[in-house]
Amino acid sequence: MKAAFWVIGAGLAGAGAAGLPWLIGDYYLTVALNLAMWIALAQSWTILSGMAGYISLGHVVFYGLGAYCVVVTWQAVPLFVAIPLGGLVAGIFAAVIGAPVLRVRGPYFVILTFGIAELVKYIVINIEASSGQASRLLFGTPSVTDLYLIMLALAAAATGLAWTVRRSRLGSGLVAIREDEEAAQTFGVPVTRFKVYAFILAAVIPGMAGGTFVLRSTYFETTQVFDPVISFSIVTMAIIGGSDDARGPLLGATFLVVLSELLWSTLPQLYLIVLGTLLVVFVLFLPGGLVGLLGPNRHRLVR
Amino acid sequence: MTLLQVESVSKSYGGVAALRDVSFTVDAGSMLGIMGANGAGKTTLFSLIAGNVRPTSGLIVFDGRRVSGLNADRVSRAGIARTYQIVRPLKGLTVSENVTTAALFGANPAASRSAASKRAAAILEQLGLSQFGDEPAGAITLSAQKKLEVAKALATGPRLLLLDEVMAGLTPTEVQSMLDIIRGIKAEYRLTVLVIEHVMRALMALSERIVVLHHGEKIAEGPPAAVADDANVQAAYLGRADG
Amino acid sequence: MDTVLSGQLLFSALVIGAVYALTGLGLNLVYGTMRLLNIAHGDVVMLGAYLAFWLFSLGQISPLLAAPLAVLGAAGLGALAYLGLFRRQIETTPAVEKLEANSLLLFFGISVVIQNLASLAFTPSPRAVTYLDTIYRLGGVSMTGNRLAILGISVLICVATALVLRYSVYGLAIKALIQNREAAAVVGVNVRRVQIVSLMLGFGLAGLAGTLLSMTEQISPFMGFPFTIAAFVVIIMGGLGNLVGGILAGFLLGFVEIYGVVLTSSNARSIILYGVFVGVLLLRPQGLLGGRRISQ
Repeated sequence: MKAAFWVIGAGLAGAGAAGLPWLIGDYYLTVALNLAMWIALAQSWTILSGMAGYISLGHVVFYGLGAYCVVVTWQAVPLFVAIPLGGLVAGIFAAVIGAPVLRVRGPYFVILTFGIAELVKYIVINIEASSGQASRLLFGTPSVTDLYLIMLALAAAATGLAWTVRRSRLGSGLVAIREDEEAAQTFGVPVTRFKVYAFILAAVIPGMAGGTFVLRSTYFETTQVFDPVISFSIVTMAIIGGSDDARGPLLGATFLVVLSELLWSTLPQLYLIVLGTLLVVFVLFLPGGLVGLLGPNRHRLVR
Repeated sequence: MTLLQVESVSKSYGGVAALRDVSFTVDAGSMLGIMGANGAGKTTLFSLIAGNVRPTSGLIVFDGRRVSGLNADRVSRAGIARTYQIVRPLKGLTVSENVTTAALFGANPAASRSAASKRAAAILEQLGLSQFGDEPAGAITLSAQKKLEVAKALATGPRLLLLDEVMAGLTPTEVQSMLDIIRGIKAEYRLTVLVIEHVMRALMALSERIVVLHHGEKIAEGPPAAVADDANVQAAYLGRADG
Repeated sequence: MDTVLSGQLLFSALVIGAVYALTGLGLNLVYGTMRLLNIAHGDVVMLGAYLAFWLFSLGQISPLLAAPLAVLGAAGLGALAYLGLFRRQIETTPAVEKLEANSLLLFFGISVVIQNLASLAFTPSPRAVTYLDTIYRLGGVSMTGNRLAILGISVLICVATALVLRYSVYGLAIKALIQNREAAAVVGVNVRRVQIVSLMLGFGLAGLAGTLLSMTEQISPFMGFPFTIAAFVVIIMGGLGNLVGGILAGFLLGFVEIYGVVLTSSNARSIILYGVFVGVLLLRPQGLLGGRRISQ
């Protein structure tokens, strides 16, 4: 009975969301596009960082790689190939660096991911500089409506993926890893393999989201698609919303988008100041996030 | 038939030898006790057998296959399970969830979550933990947590069970209860068991044979009575007259 | 080949290395005694630089005179942070790893706040201070006065710190605390006081580095990050909590950076810094000179 209720509810919400382009103007559609993107990013992020507790502060690297992939193949390859390709590139990157990177524990993993994102950023900057292009111009990009629908699909996919993983054997293993990695390994959890799987799963959709969002503007700038503020926003969103179930990232993303609408056009610095302060407040006093306020919360990201 | 062979195993940590050239075998279906003072190397031995650490030299063979040098999860899948002396429950999960999670992995992983749940419920029942099923694992008593350690190890479907001081800190009544439980699960799951114990009467009561470690070396091996009479063992525990 | 072996390069490497050693020392003091990963360390450097800038442009006060003020100000900031934020965290979090992870997020939030407050207050446009830029020549090497001052003062402070650690009671207490907090408390070290002092010292050193840097670098609200990264590289390479190791690692990083850029290109500077950062974290869990392990 309860399941039927959820399915119908989700169906209605989905229909409503898909119908938005015909109900609201372009400006609010862009806001909805933003929201869908952050949801896609935050849900994907929780697959590794929420469930296994390996907090990635460099998640923008997957976003940026996907974006770069789409931009580089722009007009040479149709969009329905380029965007998944962006996801694939991000996934392969995660697979390649996964094993060595995930061997680093705790807070050092956090700053390592940050370092990797910056390293990739500067490498791409250098590649672009040596090819003589400071930025690229993109002509004939899809309409906001098309981009919104793609992003909506990605947000739904990310939410579905996080939900599925959480209930799977992989998910149980990841939670055990978060609680006590050595003990988990002792009772048979293949810790390295599972962490790498989670890393890859957490990378693919952000790669596609990056590839989609980069088409929103007509120019591409490396520093924008590898901006550490994106990583910071994802982490803050997850902590404010709570990362223990699918509702957390939805709450967190909505909260941040509303906040940004209120503050960004007036004072972008103020928006970031508020965000930083909220992160501090939540880490100190509300580690369960907003979701934690709604109900008993045993699996907290920050203890 | 020999299930476990420990051959000339040594483990050093940067110049300090925790274990030195230890060898013994364990027959399938038997219960072997490991005895020794603190620092004798008993837990290190378990960590080596379970794959949590690699031996510096030597070989460990389980059911004809080399397990020394394999990662702990592969050793678990091969059929060896251990408990930790200082308990390591998954504190953010309930007692049931702890055992259900363990049941999904190891040597005999459950086919589905519901199968894992059922196995977990049965094991909790056997260990007398059913009433704690929905409690957070970090909130229960120490003796219940020790039983939980055993439950998790059991849930993986092992053939060899390593019990590390599961009686420590228990009252005499609880010790007796644990003795019965261990005998019970050994029979029901057809396990081979290695037991580290300081509670001497429990160790003597359980073990068919005992291996005695002292400063990382094996100084005696045999049935409990013989070991208790052994001159080396007495010297190690009571001290020689000449210091 | 001539360029590589030139004294000019050596001098540049020493100067940058000295700054890195100084910032690394500050971070190591904070981390070693409290296990707090101060990812806002570079922002304290930035604040020190701005202080020197404003004192110079408004009051014509030389950055060298501003330095003690910056040290005091930064130290005060450290004390405030301790009393306001970290004491609660340190005393309520049982597991060291959780403390480290939480402190990282906390400091990250603080870093974002500080950087954007600075951006609001000072505007994002970069500033510069021209001071002590007379050039001295010694054996074919041109050295500006300000760089000489940076090198001299940094080395002085590092040596002084090393001596204090070795010979004073406080130094001993700090080393004991770094090794083992519980054991230090048992032998009578006043843990809280030593922690506050170390935090203040660590922040103070960062503030000092900032004022020194104001003489040669462009000052902007977001200039801190590379120094934070460099400080982390330094403390990991030198071994976490190994204060003298950190000093040596700082100079080593300076050399790697300068000679790396010479061998590749100036565009590669950031790639080299972050490359070393990632490499050190991945490959040398115990640092080059020994310290705590960071990976399994």
